[in-house]
Amino acid sequence: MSILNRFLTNRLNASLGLMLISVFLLAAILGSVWTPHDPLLVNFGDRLRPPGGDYWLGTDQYGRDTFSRILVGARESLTISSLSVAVAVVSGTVIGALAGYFAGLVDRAIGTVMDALIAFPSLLLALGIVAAVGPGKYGVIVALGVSYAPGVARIVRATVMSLRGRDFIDSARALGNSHASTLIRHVLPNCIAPVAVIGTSLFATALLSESALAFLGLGVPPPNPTWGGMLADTKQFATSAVWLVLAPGLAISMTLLAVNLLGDALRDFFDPRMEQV
Amino acid sequence: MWAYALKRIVSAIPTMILASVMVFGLMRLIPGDPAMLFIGEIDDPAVLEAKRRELGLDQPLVMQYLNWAGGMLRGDMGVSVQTGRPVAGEIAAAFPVTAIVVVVATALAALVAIPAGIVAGWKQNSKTDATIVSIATLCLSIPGFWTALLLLTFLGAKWKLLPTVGYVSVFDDARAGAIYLIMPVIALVLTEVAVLTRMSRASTIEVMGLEYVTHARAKGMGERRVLWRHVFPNAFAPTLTVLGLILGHLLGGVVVIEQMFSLPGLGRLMVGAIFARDYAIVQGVLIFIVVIYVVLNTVIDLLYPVFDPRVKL
Repeated sequence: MSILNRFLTNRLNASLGLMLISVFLLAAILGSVWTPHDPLLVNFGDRLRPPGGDYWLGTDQYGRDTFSRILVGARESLTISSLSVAVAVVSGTVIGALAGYFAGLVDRAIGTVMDALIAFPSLLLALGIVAAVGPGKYGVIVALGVSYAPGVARIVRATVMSLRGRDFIDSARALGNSHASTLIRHVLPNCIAPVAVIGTSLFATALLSESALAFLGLGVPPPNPTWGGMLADTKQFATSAVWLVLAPGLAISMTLLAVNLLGDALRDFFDPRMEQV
Repeated sequence: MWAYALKRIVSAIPTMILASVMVFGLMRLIPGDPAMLFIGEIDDPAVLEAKRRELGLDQPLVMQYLNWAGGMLRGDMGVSVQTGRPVAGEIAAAFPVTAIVVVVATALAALVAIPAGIVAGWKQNSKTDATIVSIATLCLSIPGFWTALLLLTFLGAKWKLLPTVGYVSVFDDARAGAIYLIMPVIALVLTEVAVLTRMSRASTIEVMGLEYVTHARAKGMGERRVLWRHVFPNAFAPTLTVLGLILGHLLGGVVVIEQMFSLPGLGRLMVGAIFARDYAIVQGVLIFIVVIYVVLNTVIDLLYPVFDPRVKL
């Protein structure tokens, strides 16, 4: 707990971000066990009800409860974003560590492939991958994971490069450790801080892109709610039922704000010299 | 200098080749025979075989790639399944729309964000700084497509201040064209303003702490002059490199924005093609944007020493 304490003291943004993100995490957990109404239940008798009474955040054009859909959407959106970040972090760390540790030819080969991936604007690469593997939850996770992996790899590579030739790495090798165990036990622990920082900021990007893909109709297929998908489903009713635009949009924005605040605080905490970018 | 420029330009070539292999491979991952898409419902093996031969699908994959890439180099990007027109023509028609939105958004972002960041960094930890940083963090957390939806709902549909559908090119009618650009550009630019403001603030703060700034102040130079003479020129160059990143964001973000405002640009072309399974268009747009993105990033790299005289190549 002492690390958490040290992290939170004098960091208003960290506390605020942590609080906000906990609210949404709780919402996501709540959404998987209980919702006030069935999020998928169509009920034309109650269509486009404004917020209040039985429906805290109103209903959509099919009479489905917005609040219940937001709760379930929290689970979907947060799961997809965290899994894509996990894919990016794991593959990026492995690739970056190999490139940085072995350097030379391995590094050149990996570098060329990563450069080619970075040559795509990330949302467009994700769109291309979704077009190829098909829309849906796993398509989106793979697409986002692959498009963010080069960013992680680049940072891990730089960190590992800076460790090469340092005494503790050389002595680990001299003591007879294999490359694999040196990498895992001595090199990778030094990458945790930079990976945590980029992982947090990638989470925000992933949530944003996931919503954008869902909004384009290339995410999780309806009727399952995601925040971006909810905005897309209901946009033609936006003028008469503003809550349908406000609720999911605010959910996305508040989560992004939480993650951005947390990301800034983390960056600040791990590297006080490095100003936020 | 010239040797470096040449080296930098040549180094972009393998990247492009590999990226084109990726685009080609990506579209080949799709299950099903591309020839089927052309002949549609006709259930005749002979017709299918003829079409496969016509499209070169009977050749080995490597040959197919080389044919395709060779075609690309000659400006032949294949034919759209939807319209039967050449892909290159469709892209040429859509590109100006996207280019205008992206260029205007980039210029606007730079005009607002660089001064805002410099002021925030100059007055670090003041009220002004806190306000600018808070606004930037807030803007960073608002998805562009949500801004677009809010603008369409309120400015467009409810208050009827701006048209919600349609597009007029600024080249045909500057005034009308500009009106159609207002909402898309605002939706696109907020996030980028935030990114750029934070970057320019960070590099200003870094420069402010350097000895030559302290020295300039110590010899009695006015604060404004210190800012213009010493801080701005040195904080500007690192900010410039972020433009490459921002261009990437914009080229991705514009896809969604074009869809929302029904702007007939590259993004709308590509998303429509994904739904219509018109893979020649998807491939063409991807390659086209990658080429533009790589070229612009190379240009930015080469411009760096022009803006930062300390960097000698």
